[in-house]
Amino acid sequence: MKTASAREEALRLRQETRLSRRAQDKLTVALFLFPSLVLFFIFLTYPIAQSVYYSFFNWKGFGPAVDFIGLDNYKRILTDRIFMKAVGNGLLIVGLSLTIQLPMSLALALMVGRDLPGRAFFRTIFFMPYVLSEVITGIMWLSLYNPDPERGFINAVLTLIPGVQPQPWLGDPDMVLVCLFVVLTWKYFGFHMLLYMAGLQNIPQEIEEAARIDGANRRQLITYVTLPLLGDTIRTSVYLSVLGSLQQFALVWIMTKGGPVNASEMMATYMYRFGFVRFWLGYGSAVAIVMLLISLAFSLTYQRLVRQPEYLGSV
Amino acid sequence: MRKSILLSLLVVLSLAVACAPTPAAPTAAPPTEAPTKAPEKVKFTWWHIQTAETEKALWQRLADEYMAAHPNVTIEITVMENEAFKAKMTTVMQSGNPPDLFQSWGGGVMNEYAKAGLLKDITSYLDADGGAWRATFSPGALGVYSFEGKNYGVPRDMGMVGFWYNKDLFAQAGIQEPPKTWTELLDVVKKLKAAGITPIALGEGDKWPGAFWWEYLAVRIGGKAAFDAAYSRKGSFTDAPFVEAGKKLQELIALEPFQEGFLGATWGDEATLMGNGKAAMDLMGQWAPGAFADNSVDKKGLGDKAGWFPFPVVEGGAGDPADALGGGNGFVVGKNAPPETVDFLKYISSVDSQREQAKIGLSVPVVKGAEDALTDPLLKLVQQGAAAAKYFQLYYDQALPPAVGSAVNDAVQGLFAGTLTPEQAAQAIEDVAAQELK
Amino acid sequence: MAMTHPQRSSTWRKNWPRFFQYLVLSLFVLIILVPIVMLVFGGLKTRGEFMTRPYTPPIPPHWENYAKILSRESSFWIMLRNSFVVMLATTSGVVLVCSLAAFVFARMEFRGKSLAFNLFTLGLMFPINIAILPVYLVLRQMGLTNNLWGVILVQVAFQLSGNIMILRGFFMAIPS
Repeated sequence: MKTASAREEALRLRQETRLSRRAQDKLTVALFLFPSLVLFFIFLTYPIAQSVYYSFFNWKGFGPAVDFIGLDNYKRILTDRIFMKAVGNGLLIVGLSLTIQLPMSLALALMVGRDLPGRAFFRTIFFMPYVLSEVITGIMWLSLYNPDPERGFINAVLTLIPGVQPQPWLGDPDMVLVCLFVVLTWKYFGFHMLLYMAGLQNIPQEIEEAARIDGANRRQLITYVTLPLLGDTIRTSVYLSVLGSLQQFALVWIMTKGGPVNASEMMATYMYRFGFVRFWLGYGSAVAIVMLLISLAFSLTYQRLVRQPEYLGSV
Repeated sequence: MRKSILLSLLVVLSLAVACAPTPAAPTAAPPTEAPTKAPEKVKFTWWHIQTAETEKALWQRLADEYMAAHPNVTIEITVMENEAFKAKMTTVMQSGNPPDLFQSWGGGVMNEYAKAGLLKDITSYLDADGGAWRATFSPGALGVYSFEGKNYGVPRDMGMVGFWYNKDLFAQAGIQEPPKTWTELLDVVKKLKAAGITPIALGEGDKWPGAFWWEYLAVRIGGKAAFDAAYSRKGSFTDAPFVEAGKKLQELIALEPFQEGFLGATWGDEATLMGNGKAAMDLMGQWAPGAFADNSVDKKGLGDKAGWFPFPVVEGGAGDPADALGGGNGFVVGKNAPPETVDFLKYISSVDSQREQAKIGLSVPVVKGAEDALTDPLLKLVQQGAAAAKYFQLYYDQALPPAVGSAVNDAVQGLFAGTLTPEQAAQAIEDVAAQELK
Repeated sequence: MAMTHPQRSSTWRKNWPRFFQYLVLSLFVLIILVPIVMLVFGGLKTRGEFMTRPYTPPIPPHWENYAKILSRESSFWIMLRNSFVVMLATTSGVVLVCSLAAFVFARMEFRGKSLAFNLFTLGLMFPINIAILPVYLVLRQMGLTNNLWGVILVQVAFQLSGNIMILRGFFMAIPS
């Protein structure tokens, strides 16, 4: 259907206007957007729509959904203590990511910079965790965090310091989130660092040269020239990081299953636990939609707060 | 810009309305019940979870043998790791497309599948020739794979949960005999602690290992009557025995008998501690010795040091000492499976096949006449215990609907962490049960 | 650090940022490498050894783990081929489809631009975990189950949002 209309339009345009510039533009837009729109509608919009539909049902996932319950699933989510805990945990991870993970990535990107000898080496090493599968990452860190110093490397190193006791790490409800955050940082900072490095690459050297000639020292150079010019990259990185944190699933499920006692529950693990493990697919769909709305709310707020939402189009 | 967001939401919503009814019409192929008189080509799929080398090889060999004898049959085997299998099952079952023959633990999850019409009723096959096939199984084990009087699969393995313990460590702590009562068990724990030994290994991060404790206490305290009442809704999970089970468990938890950080540990950690002699006992099912060996450096696990004793009696409890909590593995048949699938299932459930499974430690046999292939004296104890139990309780997370089973596991973890009182834990389970059990 | 010699002091001052840079970077390299080295060690251990002594060097190394994976009858080769096909097709698909769209969003003006772009950003916010079931149903309706195309198309579709956003940034950075 889409194909036909695009083609017809193209033909019509060619005949009638002999490819005026405007028409040419229109054609380009239609042709260039066509493949992504088709894929997007079939594999994303349509499934989202189905989830919206199921979220109004008490549905176990087998056969057609028949038990229509209106907004009950949503009411239940919003009054559920564990879901609220999951939201809180997600926000904490977001907060830690923005205050620790991203600044760290930026600092490392600046350190490696453009011309440090060995730059390629550091870049490769730092990007390695991002390439590693989440399952393997989870298993390795489970082992690192083992409370028994004979089996857990972190405790083995810690207990070398006299007077330091081995810690239970993932077994301690108060510590578990921070432990997970360390793993998330380990895994994802390389990605953000690479984004920043690519952004740095795009800053014309002449501008920095000019600033240096004008007598700016290193700190001034970074604060007044480099960072502002990196603005777009930073905003993209913040945006991706927040959404990624809010939807964190695989690592958390492998390492803690959201435990102990929901201490590391995330929205996505909550959705999996109540949607899939308990066979409450209708409820799970409603959770997915709530997650979607929360992410959407963030997007809206974010573009309000950030003056130049260039990379977000006009969201 | 606000508008455009709202607009895109509208697009999604209108699509929701537009495309909603479609999933209700599954496009699955009609069941192929073609009679196969002439050697017509038949293909069926078999999903199992035996990733260990010897076990996987045994299944492969049996399938090869069967295909050699029936050249028209092709068996497509898919081997999956336990967790991956469960995840994949949810998707294929919800899409109404089950494999033809697949791993099952029976009970609540299987019942859900049966209710949704995703399984093939094989009752007539079991009853053919005067019930010849049916008679080969021990009835209790076979019953786990039936729902409302119909059979959907058969067991291959059935055992019970009990205490696996390290005799050397017990001797070190000066313990002469395994405990017979709950009070004696608490004493044993205290003695082991005093001797500087971790009394109990527990992987409570996985939840189900700890749930065994609470469930077994409920079995001992309330007996068959309590569970039946709660299940049939004449009673509830807030009844005295279930609360009492929580209180008894608290007595144990108060002694801090578990390894450091047990709340975040996995079943793999639990087995590693036991297999390497770092903890004295473990409440676990028949697969424990294999896992201990697999997770130990010398691949021997506890070896000669291993001992086994049944769950102790709780003083004043209504349960019989011979009552058992347990379960096992089996295979069930998917709704679209050709008849050859059932014939093959019969083949791998034969006495000979069962003996081979027993020999490599894959199954605690359920087919009569295969028991003697069990060489391990402790596994024999487990097999006899399970077979002799008057009241055999399938693990709650298998016996109950998945939502209730998962609520049990969650609530018991709350008990272990001290975030729930016994009353609150019972209530949390009852809340879900009230909704799911009707 | 008391510096008596003025010249030494000045070279030190000139070089210390570099030194400091390398120190910090090396520290991070170390942290990155610990789990990865453990992974390499783990590959040369039996399961029991890995569970019992996860971080010690694998002595003796169990090369047979690799031999088993790389042997002729191992299913590894089929998996490798499948992964390779999926990777090539997905990557080229993503690059092609996304750069076309990203170019349009970066350089062209047209009616409905923000609507279209917002639709794409919506994709970033939809957790794939819950989408798996509806997506599976769609694939079945299209007859794409048990088929690498099913994996490839879904992968491309779910990577659209992020990559369009990133590529758009790059397009806008290139002066026209």
